[in-house]
Amino acid sequence: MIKTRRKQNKYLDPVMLGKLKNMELIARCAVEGFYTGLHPSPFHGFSVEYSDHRDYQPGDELRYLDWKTFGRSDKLYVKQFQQETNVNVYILLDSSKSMAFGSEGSVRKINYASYLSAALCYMMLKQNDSVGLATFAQDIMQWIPPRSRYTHLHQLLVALEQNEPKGQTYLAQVLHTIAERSRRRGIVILISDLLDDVENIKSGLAHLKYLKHDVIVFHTLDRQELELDYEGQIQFEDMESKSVIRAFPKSVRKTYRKNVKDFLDEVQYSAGISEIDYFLTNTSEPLNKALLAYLNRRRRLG
Amino acid sequence: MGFTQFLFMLGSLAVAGPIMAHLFNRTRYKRVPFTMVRFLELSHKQTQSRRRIKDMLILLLRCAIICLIAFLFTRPFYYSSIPAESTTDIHFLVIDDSLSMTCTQESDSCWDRMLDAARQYIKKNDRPRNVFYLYSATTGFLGSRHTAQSAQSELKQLKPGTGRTELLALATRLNQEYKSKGTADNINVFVISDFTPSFIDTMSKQTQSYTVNELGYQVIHPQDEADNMAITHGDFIKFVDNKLILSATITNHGYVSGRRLIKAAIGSLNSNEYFITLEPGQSETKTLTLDITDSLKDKTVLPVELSLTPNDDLLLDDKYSIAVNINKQREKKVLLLGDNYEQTFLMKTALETLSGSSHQNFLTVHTLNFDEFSAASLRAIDILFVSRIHPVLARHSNQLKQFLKAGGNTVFFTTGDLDSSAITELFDKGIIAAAPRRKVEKIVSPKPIEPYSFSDDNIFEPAALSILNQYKPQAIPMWSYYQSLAAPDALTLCNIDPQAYLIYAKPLEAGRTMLINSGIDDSTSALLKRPIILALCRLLLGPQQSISTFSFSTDEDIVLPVGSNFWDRMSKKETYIFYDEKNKKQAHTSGSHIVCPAPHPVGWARTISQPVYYAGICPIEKETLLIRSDTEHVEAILGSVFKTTESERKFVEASVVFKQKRELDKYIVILLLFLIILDMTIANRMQR
Repeated sequence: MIKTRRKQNKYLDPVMLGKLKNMELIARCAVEGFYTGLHPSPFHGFSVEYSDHRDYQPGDELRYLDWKTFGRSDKLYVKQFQQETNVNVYILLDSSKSMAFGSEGSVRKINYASYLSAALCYMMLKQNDSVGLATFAQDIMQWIPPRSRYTHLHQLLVALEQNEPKGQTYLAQVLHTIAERSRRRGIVILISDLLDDVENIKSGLAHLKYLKHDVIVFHTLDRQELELDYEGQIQFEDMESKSVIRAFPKSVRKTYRKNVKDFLDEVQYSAGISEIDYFLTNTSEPLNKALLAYLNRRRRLG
Repeated sequence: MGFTQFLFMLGSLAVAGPIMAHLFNRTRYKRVPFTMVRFLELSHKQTQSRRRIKDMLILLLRCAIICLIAFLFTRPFYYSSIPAESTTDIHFLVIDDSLSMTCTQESDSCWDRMLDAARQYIKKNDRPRNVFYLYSATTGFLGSRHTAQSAQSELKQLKPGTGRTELLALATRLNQEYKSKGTADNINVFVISDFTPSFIDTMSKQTQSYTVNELGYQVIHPQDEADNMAITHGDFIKFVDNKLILSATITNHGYVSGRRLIKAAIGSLNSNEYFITLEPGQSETKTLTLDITDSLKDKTVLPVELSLTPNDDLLLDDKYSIAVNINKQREKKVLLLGDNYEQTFLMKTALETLSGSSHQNFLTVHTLNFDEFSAASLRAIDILFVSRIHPVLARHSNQLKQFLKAGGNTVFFTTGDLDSSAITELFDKGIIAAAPRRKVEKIVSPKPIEPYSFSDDNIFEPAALSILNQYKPQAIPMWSYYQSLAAPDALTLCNIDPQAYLIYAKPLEAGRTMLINSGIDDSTSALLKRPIILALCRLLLGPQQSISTFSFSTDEDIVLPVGSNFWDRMSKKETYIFYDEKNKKQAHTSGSHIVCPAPHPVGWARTISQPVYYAGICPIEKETLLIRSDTEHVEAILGSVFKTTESERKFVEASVVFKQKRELDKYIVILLLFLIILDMTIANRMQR
């Protein structure tokens, strides 16, 4: 069990994934590693059209047993259904300049978000969901409409690989645009550091909720953004606004953490009110948390 | 509180360092790109005021640390009251045992009250570990260490002193005790005195100050306003027609007006008497006449006592003793001949000064310019001083020669340009001992006199020559001199170069003539300052022409001229001077004088040998002036001599505060460590 966990962690560790370079490989490792950790998988197949039978394996849900076949043959078979794409998933990847931040020992937020996006795309396409991708900063930079073909994965991964963070974040405007483009109900996955005004964020997310989308927010932050664990005398330079502030982190750390916590609490509270799944993802943590969050949501929709 | 090394306090100027660093802080910041700067700004604003306070606190802490380090180097200390049992207190009891303390009013005596105060002080500080020194302010005698008991006993032996206040022995012992004292030791000085002007003057002349832990004083004044008239000066004016003419100066040294009778006496022989009335501070001089009997004329020295009656509060200054040497030699008349008043003035001053007589009771000095000189000028004189060889002298060469043959003495100086014809004229007639030829202008010093080159010569008195032998003419700088031709019978003294001597002297029948190879101007310093010229004057005037009154103050050395024969008569080359039957002191020899070092009791000093030489011993000037000094003045004077180690001097009257010197080092170090830790803590919290 421990070995499994280690193996899982190994493939889900963003730093480890970062060494793989190839985005497809990264996505595959992440997802396979994730599944291995979850074995036996409870998530296989969400369609209703029958495709085949297979031998029952301990752990399979009893509701999928073919009782009629059991009555005839006195053997346990599980019915397998042909999976159908019935969900459009929109992955909104924040590619503003602030996402380029990555503290020592961690991957950049944009990398983390890309790995996560890739893993999600891979996983979704494997399940025949339609996956679309939008990268944005102050506006949408890339828009890949959702498709369910597996070959679509390549397009998505290339887009993720070529994505470079730039510009400032105007989340509200982007979310409104996405809302207008995605008329069909689906799942909207927002991967962002949410460095925008809370009211703007709430406004944009509310628009998506209005269109009956299921919204999942992966609030991606670096460990240092959460902890401000720097030492010494630091001149902090804002990556987006270029404003500068000189500070002794230790003297402001406590207040900073409190302010950040207040911000996160407010965002989380707003998300909760709007029935939006909110996940705070720390770039120094493995990807499984985020993947699991998605699968939980997807299962509910199942 | 005090500082051992106060100069190190300058180190606190280094406090400018952190202040400058604070003002011109250019901290290097590590540049870090960041995203959530708005939260940082918010946090920064929220913590800014607190951070500034901490900044200021750190600055103050660091300044305080630097100041403390400087403070530590100054070795500060303070005095704290401590249990008396744990200290060793060294008490210097300075007792003014001067004559003024003998002031007595009926049964009340300042002396007794002074002793009472001393006893009380000792009693108050009577603890096993305490040490006492009793210091006599007038004799300068500092006894050995005393316990309280032995100090009380020592007090009983104390008698009025006659010397002048001096602190040398006290200072030496103070310094010794101060160096050897432990931290628990205190050095206390307590002064008991009437603080008369004499005492104050002497104290104020102390150039050195001494550090003590505690300084106290007690003033002893007469209970009532003092009634004290004193004879402050007495002198012998002249002796004519068997009458001794004396002067006496009487001063009212008390606080009330007084009326006294003044008279002079030698034994039972009394002078005329005067009543004298004086207000406080007033002074008057009276002339008294004593008829000398034939029996007294034969005495070498007459002991004359001036006295005031009736007695007042202070008896010791009511008498004034003068020993008078009646000059039995014929009065000598001197003529000083010069170009101008300045030259004759110089010669006159030199002669009077160096002859040791300002009374002119055996020297009558006249001065003339060369143009006033005539043959008649030589008739009534014994000695002729001439500032330069002037043509007028050649014109009167015959009279000069007669003057010398008759026993006259001449002294010629070589001032200015000389007249060669006059020189030739005078030299040929034997009036000058040498003929100056060529002037040499350079600074030289004569060589010493050869000790025995003139011992058999009868030109000069042997005793005077022996004195001359002791002088050092090489110490006399000469700016110019003349290479001269000496007369065949001339005695030459003090060689300058092969052709020049400082002095040429020769007899001319009964008279003697002398040429001093130096300008009168050059000789000014020599005449006034150099003892060789004194000796020359002695050659001319003879040994008997010396000080004729002998009156000394109690703090002066007694110097009595007794002549060279005095020692020949003595079986031993030593003698004693007696003050009274119980009190004697050994005198020393010095040439033809006997010398007895000070101090002396008031009254008479006399030799035990025959003939008896007397010396009158009188109180020190102003010693019996009973004017009270104000407290502030006393404190200022005492404070300048005895520096207390506290920043504020505490004067205590008749009381003692026991205090212990405590070093502040360890407290400062603890405080320093605390501040450093505090600084590090705050700085660490602020990441400084």
